[in-house]
Amino acid sequence: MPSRAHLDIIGNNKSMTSMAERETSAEIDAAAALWAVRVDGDALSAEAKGKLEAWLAADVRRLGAYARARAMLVEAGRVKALGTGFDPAAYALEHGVADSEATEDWRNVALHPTRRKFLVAGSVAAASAVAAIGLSWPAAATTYTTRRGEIRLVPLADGSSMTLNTQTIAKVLFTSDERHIELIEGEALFDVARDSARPFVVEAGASLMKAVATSFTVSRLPGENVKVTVRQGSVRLGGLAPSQPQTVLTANMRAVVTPDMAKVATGSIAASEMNRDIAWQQGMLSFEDTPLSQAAIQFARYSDTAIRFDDPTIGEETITGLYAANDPQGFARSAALSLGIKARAQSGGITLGR
Amino acid sequence: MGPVSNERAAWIGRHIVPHEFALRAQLARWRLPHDLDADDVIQEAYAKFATLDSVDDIRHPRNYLYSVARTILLMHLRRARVVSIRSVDDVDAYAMPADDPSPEEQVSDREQLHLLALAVSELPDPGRTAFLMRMMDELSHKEIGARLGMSNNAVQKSIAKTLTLLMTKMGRGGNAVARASRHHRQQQEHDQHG
Repeated sequence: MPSRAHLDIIGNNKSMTSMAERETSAEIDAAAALWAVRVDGDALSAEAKGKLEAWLAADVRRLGAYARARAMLVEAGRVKALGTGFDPAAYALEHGVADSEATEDWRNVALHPTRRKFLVAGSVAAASAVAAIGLSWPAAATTYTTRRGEIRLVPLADGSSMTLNTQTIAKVLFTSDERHIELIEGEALFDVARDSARPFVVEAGASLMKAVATSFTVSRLPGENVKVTVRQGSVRLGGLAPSQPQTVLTANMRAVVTPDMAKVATGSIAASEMNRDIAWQQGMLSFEDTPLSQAAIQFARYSDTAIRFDDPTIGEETITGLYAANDPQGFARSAALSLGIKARAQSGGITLGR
Repeated sequence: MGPVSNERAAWIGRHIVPHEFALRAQLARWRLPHDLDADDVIQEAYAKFATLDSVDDIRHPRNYLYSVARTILLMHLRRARVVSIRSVDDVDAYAMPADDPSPEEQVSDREQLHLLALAVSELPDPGRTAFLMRMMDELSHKEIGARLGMSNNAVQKSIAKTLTLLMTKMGRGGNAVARASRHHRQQQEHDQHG
């Protein structure tokens, strides 16, 4: 992890361009592409070099776009690895996704094509080019574990991602038929990329959730019922056996499931509550008129530093605000300040008292 | 060679470009303020990689990329004072991957080449021909121009246009043209009725 000293960010030159006519990033990309192509051709004249440097100097985004375009051009040179027999038309025919409905997810479909018969034998050279770039499916399951206080973003091979909250264990197995994740313990947020060939399935205890290009969280905390909250899209919630009844959850809905799937309680969630529930994803905890005692329980999930109270009435005081989950001391100090009480460090924790 | 050497361009192409797609997804989840969009953050992030003295010590380019993007976002937020949080270490305010991508998370070299081959094969002609003449056969712009009956300038413009299409496919994982024209239509409708 780079130290903060490393991350010296270039000064932002946005102020130099007038706000009214601020260049769009698309305009910058187009201009940068042309410069990259020019640089790739004959050597630039001194005048042209000067023009390029002047152009780059006016907006830091231009340098970025230029670096990206140069990089893409070098990468594009790797087509040579496909061999002189590379026939684009034949390749597109065999692997093409351009006519698929999922034009937004071209990349996902490209990496995980639906099984299809070879439409065209193509030339021998084209076939060998195809064979040379075989795709392999990941075979073994991978288990991801977060420690207390750790929040971890796990990008998945299909373009989906899974964000694990503190003390979470999740097991991922993607096969050619299914994208399967088992939430063994903890809490995770899933952002699911569309893949019409493979359902995205999350298993938590006795529950099975099937999602289609959606965003939802699942929590399976010790001593608590499994909770499924849908932010976007929809999730079909059922049991492990296909015959069990299913409930469809849409955006801003939550289901609470008893361990054996005996009872499924569903309800809707206000957007503000949803945002509070998701704050952990950014390492934050969001409270609104929350009793200190409950806040203390939340903080305990993220660190060893316990928050204690001299007497129970302090625990009943409520707090509202956004706090870093891994900074219980900061929270305690802040709470003490706003409630007019005292916070003192004491044997591996903080005690709030009057 | 200019502001970005061939070596640096090659490194960025190999180690940063493949992660752009996932970074865009993450930026969408971080809910950027309305006056900062993902494209800005991405362009500024690339600029960072262009200006580093050396990239030799970067063992985890993907993580570094995410760090850079997050720092750009936080700098912007701080300037705008959108987020006022007491007793928070800003650097920890946004979740970060702790470890290397697993073999399952990585897009392999092979897969990257496949994406490239597919993206190229889906490029429209006449642009694709000029592009492949340059990239595959390594003809000069002049030679390409002679074969296709185009001026040097026209060849460069054509290749640049094709490059932009390619960047869209590889970096955004989709058909930005379709998205852009949809957005434009929505904008027009909004302007009419708004």
